[in-house]
Amino acid sequence: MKVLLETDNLKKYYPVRGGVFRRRIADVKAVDGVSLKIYKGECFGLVGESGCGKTTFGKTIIRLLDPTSGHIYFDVPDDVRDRIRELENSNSDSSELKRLYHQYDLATFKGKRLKELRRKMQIVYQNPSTSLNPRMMVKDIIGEPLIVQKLAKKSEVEERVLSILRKVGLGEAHLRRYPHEFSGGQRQRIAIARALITRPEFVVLDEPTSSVDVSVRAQLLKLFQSLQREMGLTYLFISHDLSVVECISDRVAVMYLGKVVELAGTRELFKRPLHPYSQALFSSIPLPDPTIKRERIILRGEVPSPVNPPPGCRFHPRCKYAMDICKKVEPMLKEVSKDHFVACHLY
Amino acid sequence: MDKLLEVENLKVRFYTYEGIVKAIEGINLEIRKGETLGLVGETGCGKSVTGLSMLVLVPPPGRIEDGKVILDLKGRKVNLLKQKEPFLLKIRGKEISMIFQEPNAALNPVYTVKEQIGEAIFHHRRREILNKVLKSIEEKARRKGKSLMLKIERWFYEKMLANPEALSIRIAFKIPILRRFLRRKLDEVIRNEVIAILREMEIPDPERVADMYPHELSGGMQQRVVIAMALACNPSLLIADEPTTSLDVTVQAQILDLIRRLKRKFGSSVVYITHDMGVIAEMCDRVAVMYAGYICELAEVKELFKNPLHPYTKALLESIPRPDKEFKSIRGTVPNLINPPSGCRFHPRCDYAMDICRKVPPRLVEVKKGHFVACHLYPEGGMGSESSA
Repeated sequence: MKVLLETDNLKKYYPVRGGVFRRRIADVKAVDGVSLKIYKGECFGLVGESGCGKTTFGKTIIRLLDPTSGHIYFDVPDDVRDRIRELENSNSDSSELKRLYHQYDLATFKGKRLKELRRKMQIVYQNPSTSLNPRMMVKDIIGEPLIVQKLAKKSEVEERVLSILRKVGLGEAHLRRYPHEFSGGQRQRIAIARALITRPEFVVLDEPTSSVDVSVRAQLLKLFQSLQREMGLTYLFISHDLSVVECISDRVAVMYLGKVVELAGTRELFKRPLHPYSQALFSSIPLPDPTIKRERIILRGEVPSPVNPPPGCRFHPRCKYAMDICKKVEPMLKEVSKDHFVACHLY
Repeated sequence: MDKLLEVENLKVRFYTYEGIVKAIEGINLEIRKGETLGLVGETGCGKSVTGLSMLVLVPPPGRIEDGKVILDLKGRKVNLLKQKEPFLLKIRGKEISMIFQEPNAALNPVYTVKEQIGEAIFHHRRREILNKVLKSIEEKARRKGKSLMLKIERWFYEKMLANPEALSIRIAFKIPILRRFLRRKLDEVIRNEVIAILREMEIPDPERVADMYPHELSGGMQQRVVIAMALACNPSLLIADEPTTSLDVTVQAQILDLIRRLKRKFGSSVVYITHDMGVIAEMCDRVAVMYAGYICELAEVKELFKNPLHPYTKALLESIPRPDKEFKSIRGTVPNLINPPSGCRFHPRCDYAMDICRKVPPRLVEVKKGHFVACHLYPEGGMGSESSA
């Protein structure tokens, strides 16, 4: 399978400013060294509690936020990627490495090249009532990317807008309306249409179903699946709703305090979570079946502050298996069984 | 089993500029002692309004048009809708209390946790608290010998116990220095009570949390404080209106566990309002499924999940994403309640809609023992068609 997007030790820190001169006094380590590969055509799920850095990660990889350090490779040929890795390891000829970074590393892109890439990567936000401009008509909201990216002539815009609107299940009657005239589910469809009109390859879905009802949620999920098939999209599906992720994703990564703690195929992960945090997380999903009684792992305490994450394994203060080594050494993500990665000293 | 609260033929309407929203159209419910009743449904189906009606707290422009809410007050049946505000103030928070959805909005940002919970405690357990204060004063007098200060304090609190509206007390509380001096003892006792309750809620370091403001707490902690406020007076009925929707799953698990444990401890009944079928399956004994202001099905939780009868319940259960099945969605959207569909309000979205569904609203009939459904597909048990008259 072809890797569409790869991050290498990606970090995003938000500064905490204070003092008389608004100096940087600390960092909120929202994403702290994430290395992931997303394959072409898959739906990659990213789960975790609020404040674990999922949304920051999603926004950083499409460069809505500037990464603090690390590399992002989007649609880079395999041989180039291999060459970069080789050069990084050898640590010698730095001018070629610099040139390659400049050419292929999305984290260094600026201006025109970045704008060109924007058309290939899009995002659908959590709450459509805040992500749609209330003073613009639907046709302007959806058509704006075409005009900004100069992808269509003014006369063609409306036609293109209409065709994408039909794809997301709305019609001509909706063109000249304002966002407030729509229900939550329909608004989210408009946001999806806006993201898809530039024919992107990669779409970040940032909790797209958390603000709608169950019945509408099912409709939207179906829409995502059919659009993916139709347009050959790759998704990064960010959610805290684990049952949704279970249904729609091919592979899932679990994040905790800015780090990926576990990564595996959906089926494998939900059946056999290995990391103690994933175990607790999955056991706390309420199952819609009153006959099943199961042992639930209830986590004590709260998620620590990402300004001062605990040393060693970040989960150790809440982990019931915590050993001495967990307090000192940070576990690396390693492959335990095929395609099942976990960052824990137990394995 | 004994009934704790009965809702009879409740009708609630909202008088908005766009028209009259028929939010609740004649629902009947009973809550038994010690049970957890779940109310499920989509947004705008009237589940929260039902919860608020039980407290007679429907906000304007809403109005309770008709019906009865009968509460069993230790054997005495009281129709809450007929009572005056002072009586209701005594009921709310003491007999029936509520946990709101957004802890952030339910807490006042300018008061500390201690002050907010303390207010609820002092309002409902005034006598008990004042007696405790007097006791502590007497103890101090015994230890340190009598002093003028203690005498004044004692006189003051005795007066407050006898008649809280006395002129001298009202005047004393208007003078800042006096108020501060007089409230010192009272605040101390209330603070201890609050800390005891916070400890019950498994809040770590309750002494510190008691002096914090809501914004200093995380969402889960805020919700615990709201629950602490609701449970401060051991209510016999707790209405939980989506208490965990704004929280993460792991925190949700903690809160659900807490509610379940407290319910067992105090033996209260719980009305649990949510749209999450998973939470319903885990928490409730009986479930009422609501749609567009009606109860369309009511059954024991196991029965409902095993054998759902109403097409809406079936569709709702099928729209839960499950990995091994393709998800089905309910076509269409929730109807506008200003102009609800005629007959059965679900008929425009129903796969089994018949002619009768468009004309006659179905009645809630008992199809099996303890299993009620309002649908024309099941006429055997009751007389669905007769109710049209």
